[in-house]
Amino acid sequence: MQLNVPWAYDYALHGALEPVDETAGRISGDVHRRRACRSDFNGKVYGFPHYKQRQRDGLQTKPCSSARASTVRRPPLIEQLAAARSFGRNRPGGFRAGARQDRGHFLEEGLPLIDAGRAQCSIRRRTFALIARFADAYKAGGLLKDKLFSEDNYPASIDAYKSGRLANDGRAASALIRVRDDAPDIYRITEAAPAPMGANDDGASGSAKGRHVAAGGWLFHFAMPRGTRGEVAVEAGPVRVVLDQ
Amino acid sequence: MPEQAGAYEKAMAIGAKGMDVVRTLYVPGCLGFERLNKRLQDAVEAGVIGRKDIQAALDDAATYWNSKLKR
Repeated sequence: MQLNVPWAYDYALHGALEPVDETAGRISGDVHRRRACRSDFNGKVYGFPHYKQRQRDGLQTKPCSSARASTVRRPPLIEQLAAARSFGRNRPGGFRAGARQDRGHFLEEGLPLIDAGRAQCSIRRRTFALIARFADAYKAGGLLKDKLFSEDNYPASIDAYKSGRLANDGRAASALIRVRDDAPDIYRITEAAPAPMGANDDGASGSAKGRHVAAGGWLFHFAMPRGTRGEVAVEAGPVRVVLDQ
Repeated sequence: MPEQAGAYEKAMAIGAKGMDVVRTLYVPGCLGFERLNKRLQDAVEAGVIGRKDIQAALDDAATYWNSKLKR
């Protein structure tokens, strides 16, 4: 089965998962040397994290009359917020930026939450400034307010996009299937654009210092529920796992 | 990419490139990361809608995170 990584960790601690290293018959791929590809909890390997899809880079840019994009690219977050504020103030409803998960915004802007060296949460001055920009856009009516702060605002934002109330929505590519099938008129004026590369993350999330990263990705985890029996073969990204039991 | 490719096909092609540069934040070794994340989201919400001073809201969230990270 596949789990969101935080869920897998909690489930493993509660004994709901089988350790993979005790049951795996064959594991191909460089997983044992690459610790980053494993989920080790309490000294046992419970699975192999992998990005199921690159979320939020399947960008939908709808060049509407009030916010026509000259090139198909998603602007950096700061530019999006400035545009949302401007359009919200001058043409309510013309351009709206949907909110996403906060930690994704921070990653994108190179604002780590965890000081890895001290295992402490530290909020930087630039983080306050970023939230202040969100607040400005919100007050100006430039943010889509439907389920703005919910953990999963996908249903609300995709509905807003399909109805033309949301000009720009970063989602996994598969979200465009719903637009294509439910709102062909909107789909015809939809373009895909990659997520912009963010600032470097200072190594806070495991990448090399100075490397620019894009926020997003749905980090999944191949896992086996306790009591799983039989032969299972799973491909998790670059890793192929065959379980013979 | 075929000329007739729609936004979905283009998005899939974009998604296939650069998987190695995407990141998400997770804190291993901390039981209840979802609760930490929820506390952060609550703080951001309070700051954005003006229910609370931004710095005070985020400082409160950081204090909560640190109380959990120390365990």
